[in-house]
Amino acid sequence: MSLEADKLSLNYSGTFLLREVSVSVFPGKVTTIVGPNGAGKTTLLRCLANDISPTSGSVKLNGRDIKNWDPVDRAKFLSVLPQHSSLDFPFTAEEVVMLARTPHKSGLIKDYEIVNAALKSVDATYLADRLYVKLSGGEKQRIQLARVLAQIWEPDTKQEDNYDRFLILDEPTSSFDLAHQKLTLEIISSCASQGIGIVLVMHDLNLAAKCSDQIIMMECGKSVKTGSPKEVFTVENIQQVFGVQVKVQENPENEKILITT
Amino acid sequence: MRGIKPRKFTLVLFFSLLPVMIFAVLIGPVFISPTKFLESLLSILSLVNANSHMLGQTSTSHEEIILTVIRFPRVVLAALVGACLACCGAVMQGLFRNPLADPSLIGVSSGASAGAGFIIVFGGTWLHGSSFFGLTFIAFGASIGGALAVLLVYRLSTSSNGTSVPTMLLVGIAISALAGALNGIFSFIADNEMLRRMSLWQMGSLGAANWFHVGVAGLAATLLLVTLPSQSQALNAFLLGESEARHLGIDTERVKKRIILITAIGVGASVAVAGMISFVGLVVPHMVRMVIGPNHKYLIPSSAALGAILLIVADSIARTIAAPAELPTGILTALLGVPFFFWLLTKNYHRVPR
Repeated sequence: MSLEADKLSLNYSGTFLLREVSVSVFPGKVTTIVGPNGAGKTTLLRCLANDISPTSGSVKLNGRDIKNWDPVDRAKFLSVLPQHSSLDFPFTAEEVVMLARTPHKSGLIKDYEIVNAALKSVDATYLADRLYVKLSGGEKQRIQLARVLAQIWEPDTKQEDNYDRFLILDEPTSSFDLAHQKLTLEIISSCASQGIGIVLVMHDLNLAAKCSDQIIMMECGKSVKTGSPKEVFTVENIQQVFGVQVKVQENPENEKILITT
Repeated sequence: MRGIKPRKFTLVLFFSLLPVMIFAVLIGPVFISPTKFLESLLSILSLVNANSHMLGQTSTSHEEIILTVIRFPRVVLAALVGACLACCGAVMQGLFRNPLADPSLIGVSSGASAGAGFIIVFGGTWLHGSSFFGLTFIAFGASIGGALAVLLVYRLSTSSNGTSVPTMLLVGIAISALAGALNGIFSFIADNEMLRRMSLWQMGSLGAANWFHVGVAGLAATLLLVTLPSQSQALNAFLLGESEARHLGIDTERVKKRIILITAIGVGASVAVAGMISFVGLVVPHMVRMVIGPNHKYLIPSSAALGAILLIVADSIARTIAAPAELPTGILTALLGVPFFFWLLTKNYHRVPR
């Protein structure tokens, strides 16, 4: 099973925000969307998350059109971290993460276990009783990350078909310090190793190269290059899409690549 | 980070409602002693005169009439209207994801008063506000006016990024102005009797309370307290944002429609029986949130209880402070509510740089 977008086009009052973009996100793999500002990365994510409907083309979650899912069932398999979240009400951080358990009927004890584990995984146990509105930007983003993780923490055992879980992250590392950027990459790879399919938007090409199995490079609403980080992050591609002259080196220790300007 | 358990707080509020009501019944231009109160209560509860003879009492005393005809309906009505307005304020703030939404500030009460005015003037002479049926019909008109106002405010001020406070308040001003103009037209057309009844709404007073009013407000309050708690989980998710709520499996369109309908009925009924009583819906949920947080599971019942208590107290002050004359209750709640609103405005939108 997978999360698949087939030839998505989105025409917004005469301008094409997306042009025939196709994406396949597979369970256990990390797919990263990169591209300059305004290339349509977030728009693509919002289509995958069923926030906006494409003008043409379709999105399929686990083989079924994403619009035909029961909202509660869909929420058990698809979790979305938005770029910005505004919450003006004085929930504690723990209560915010607890909201993730809304679609589940797993019982309070189980829910508290999961919430605590999720908070621990983003290094935010000490924030549990603090008021969300009083946290810093990075702390808020970590709580939101814990929330989307808690939503799909375990496979739904009651479901007869063994559906896969997917995670959509819009710039998950943008407001994090160095340590928490590293932590986020670890969380992403640990989610992938549990069989969760992940699709994310990231601006830092080096981080993207480090954590991704598949890179989708977008420009002006089109997906121009798709493939492994090594295939996509070439000097020519980056020059063509970003208009920046870079050096691409291979790191002999872990066979990853390093992009420098 | 909060000292008081939400469940305990809610229960305490509900249990203190009865003593507050009894106290409010006793005070007024004529003070009624607790013994007299108990005697009257017993004689009301006893079905026939035979029983009251056994207690050695004449058929109906002066105090008993004051209690059954004036004070009981008035205090019960204050409780019901306060509960309705506070509940509606709480869920509206949840729906708009904004702590400044209030039925009177964003024009819902004005919309409802225009709806009520329309029914009074065009509803025909057989629709007297003094009959249960007539009052229900006026409440219906007020609900429609209120619903149109909520819909308009929501459409104009809320996008996927949340609610814009300036737009929300501006739309509220515009709707209030429009409702004022409509009410002006209605009063222009209206005859003397209609005018007298319409002026009642614009002042916001519980002075006309009778058991018909209690019946209408009771129906609305029952509807709110039965239907709203089932929306509390959805409203909690809503506070994160509309698309976040959708990702959590909430059918956001359905929730929005329900909340708009229910609050319109709640505000409409309140306006129909008591006129424009402002700021209860703003102040009460805030006070509750400060103590137990924004979880709607406890916020809704706690707001209902505190709203009831607050309006009983405000109304008691309104009818005793200048006795034997009376201050309209709506004026008193506005006088107390406006400074609170200013405080909220400065606290939320100036001190914290954004």
